[in-house]
Amino acid sequence: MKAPWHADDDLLTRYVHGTVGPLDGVSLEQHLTGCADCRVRIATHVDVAPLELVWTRVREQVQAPAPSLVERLLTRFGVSEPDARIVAVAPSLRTSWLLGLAVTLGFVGLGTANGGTRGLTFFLLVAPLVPVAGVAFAYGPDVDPSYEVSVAVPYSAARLLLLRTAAVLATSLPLVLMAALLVPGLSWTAVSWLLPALAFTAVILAVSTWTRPTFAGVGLGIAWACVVGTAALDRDPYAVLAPTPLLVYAATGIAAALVLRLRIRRLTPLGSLS
Amino acid sequence: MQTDPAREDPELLTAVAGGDLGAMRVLYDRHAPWLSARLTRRCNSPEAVADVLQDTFVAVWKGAERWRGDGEVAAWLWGIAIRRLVSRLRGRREVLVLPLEEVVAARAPQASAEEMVLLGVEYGDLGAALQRLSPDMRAVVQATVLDGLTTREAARLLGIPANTAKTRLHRAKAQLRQNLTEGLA
Repeated sequence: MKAPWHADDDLLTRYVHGTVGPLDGVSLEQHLTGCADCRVRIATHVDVAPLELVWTRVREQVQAPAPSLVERLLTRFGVSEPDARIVAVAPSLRTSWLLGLAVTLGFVGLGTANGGTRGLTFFLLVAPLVPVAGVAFAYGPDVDPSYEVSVAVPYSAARLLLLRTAAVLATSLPLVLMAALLVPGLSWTAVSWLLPALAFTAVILAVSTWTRPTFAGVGLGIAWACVVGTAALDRDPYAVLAPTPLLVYAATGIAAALVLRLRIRRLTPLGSLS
Repeated sequence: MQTDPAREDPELLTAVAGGDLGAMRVLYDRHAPWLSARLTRRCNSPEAVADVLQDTFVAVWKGAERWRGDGEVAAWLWGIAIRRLVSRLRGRREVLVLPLEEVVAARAPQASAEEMVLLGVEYGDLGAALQRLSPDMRAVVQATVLDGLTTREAARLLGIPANTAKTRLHRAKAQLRQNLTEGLA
């Protein structure tokens, strides 16, 4: 549409300040859609400062790296964007970690599906340690790429560790549960390993108030491997999930949770230096 | 903020689709001011307008290649902006949409000669016929016919049930038709 007239400055001013009648407004709007000259002229009537602010935000948003899968999931579940970013930056929450975990568990599950105590032993060895490894690789000077930054900013170390632990549990436990479904006729086992898994998570969190999570994770891994190994030597790997050991895990977990509760304030970004 | 004849809007959009932030800046300077003014007439919260403007240009950055290459870039941008406004306002009661006719009630009694000329140029008799619609109906006509929303989107923008918007649009059309035929007679 070729517009035979152009808006005058008075009309533009009144339009921008909202004091123009609806029909003048509507006329001008339809005209603006087709007239580049009037669009340039109306710009001189619009306050530049807010537009510059918006431009800064646009630029930052389009230049920011695309949020990772975990980050998008976290924001979907109501975690704020800055929290999601700082949580998802942990190595054990990267897509590559989760992919590796899925593949590993796939092999473990298939090994178990083929039957025999060896596959089962392997599953029992790996499953409760998955969240432990996740937490060990979620926090601390050894593994956290944002560690230097987190030392320098006033962000609660406890909050960071707990948020990341929750994210690790939420992403890794479903994967392990799916792997457990590959195990034929083991519905009871598939659930009861959750108890040591959660107990160990509590333990690693509690120990992290003294030392680095990686050390705690390695220690726990060795201890659990000894337990499962001993049971396997007796040709009865199921023994580690007998009622008595389950009670022991539960007691350990509760004790660790209490210790964590008492010492959580001691958790500094410097970890071992506390 | 000069219109650079060497780089027309479609050309800029092609550059933006290729990740050219400089072209994006030119496009922003050219279109953000009028978009912001037009959005402000539909929503009285400066924060909401800023958010919508941001969303709009982020959407342009991501979807520049989706521009089909026909028609006005400005019209395409407005289509994005008004829909972003609709989704921004969804479920948020604290952001009030300006009743478009609020101002009118004060000034409408007689349109100045200048206004009549303006409307005559742009719409002919339609302008006068629009003037005679009730504010409610005019808001729906504006949102659907002029802003290019569906009745469902218009209802969300105006905070009324979809069926009400549909009914009002229907009645407005009938009334416009009648007013225009009377004008011819």
